[in-house]
Amino acid sequence: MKNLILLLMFILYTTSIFFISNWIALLGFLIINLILIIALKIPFSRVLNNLYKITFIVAITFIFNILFGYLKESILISVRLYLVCNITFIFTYKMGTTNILISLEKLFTPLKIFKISPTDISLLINIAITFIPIFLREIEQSMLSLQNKGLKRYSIDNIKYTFKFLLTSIFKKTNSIELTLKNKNYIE
Amino acid sequence: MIKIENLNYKYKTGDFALADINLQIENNEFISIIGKNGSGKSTFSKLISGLVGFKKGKILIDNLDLSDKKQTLEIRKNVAIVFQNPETQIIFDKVYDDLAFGLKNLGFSKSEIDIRIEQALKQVNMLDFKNSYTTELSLGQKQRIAIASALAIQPKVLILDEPTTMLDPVSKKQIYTILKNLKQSGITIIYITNFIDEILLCDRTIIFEHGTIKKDFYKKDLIDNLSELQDFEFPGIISLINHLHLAGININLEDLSIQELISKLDIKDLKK
Repeated sequence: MKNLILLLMFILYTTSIFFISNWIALLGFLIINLILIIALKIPFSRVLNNLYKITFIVAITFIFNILFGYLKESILISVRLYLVCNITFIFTYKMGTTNILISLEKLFTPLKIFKISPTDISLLINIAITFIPIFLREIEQSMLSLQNKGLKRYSIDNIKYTFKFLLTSIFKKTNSIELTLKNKNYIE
Repeated sequence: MIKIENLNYKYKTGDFALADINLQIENNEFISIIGKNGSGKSTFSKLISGLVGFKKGKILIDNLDLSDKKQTLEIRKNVAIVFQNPETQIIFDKVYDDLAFGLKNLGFSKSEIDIRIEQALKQVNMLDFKNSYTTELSLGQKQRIAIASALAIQPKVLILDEPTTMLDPVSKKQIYTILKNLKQSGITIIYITNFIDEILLCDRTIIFEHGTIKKDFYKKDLIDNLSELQDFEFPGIISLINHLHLAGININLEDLSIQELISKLDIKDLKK
């Protein structure tokens, strides 16, 4: 029950970040995140490493918004993404994926009325959490490899080819994950 | 015992992956399956692990019929497989969670899960990493976790499909040590490989070619069958054995390493 309450608080916290445009309020969220990091004794190096890993996605979002002329919104969305990813990292670091999985299953139990399996949803989320670092690493390797072939690191061409490679990798991994889940007695 | 009768498997394109496979593997055997890419080794491993269904033929593991879907849970408890890429076999970010997942799905209690995880991690020398993040492990360590995940089920049959392909030499050696120790524990091991030196780990070798069994021989007969493996690159020790054999020097291949080979060679043989 305690974990379910924590999960609900986490969902409320992350959702509210996206509804607030006030800079002072966002600063408040940042302070809360910092307090949690210190109180829960999470190593700063891990926090910074996690934020570094999402910089590519934040940069894409920032550039995308800038292209449409939304400077304030670009900065706002970037700050929000960092705050949300940071609190997500804190939450998963302390709670552990098994506890998150169990809590998500409890949370999604009402979906059974619509014949949706809560176990499937929580597992999907968990797989996403586990594979994001792998995909981020592959993106990094792809971009470096293309850079080695003469394409500038964040050029349109580099991003285009990396995206293509990433899509292929996702499909290949999906096949492998299916076999792994079968092997772990999940799918029949 | 594993009994395979008239196993045939076609891809969706209609091409045969496996044709008329007949094979018997005794309990506690450590067999290797070698063949070029596309010879059907991986398809075979997925079929005998029960992960992929088949329509023609029979696979029996003791009394379990792999074509009987009602026996799926029993099959999962008795057969485990480890694939080539450790990163796609680990789906949780904590080692404990990843090992516990399969066991939970089989209906084990928490206390039983804890005991099995500890035993399995000890077998692969990864007990210190029980509460570690899987994302912080090297590829070799991840592959050991993947093996531990399979061993936690305490299967009768362990299938390893090219488990060392992505690993460095040190990590490979660690896997070989684990497998040698596992052999003593009574488990049947089926080891799929592209590397000739790895077949020296095993009691028996089966060569696959174009979806059929080309040759099936025991380790003691390896020298007489080296000609069947001409397409593969012979590592130093196999090359040496081959040349010694061609020179008329007889080598017994029971449990052979380079040091053991040297110690068994008589200086008179070398002077020939």
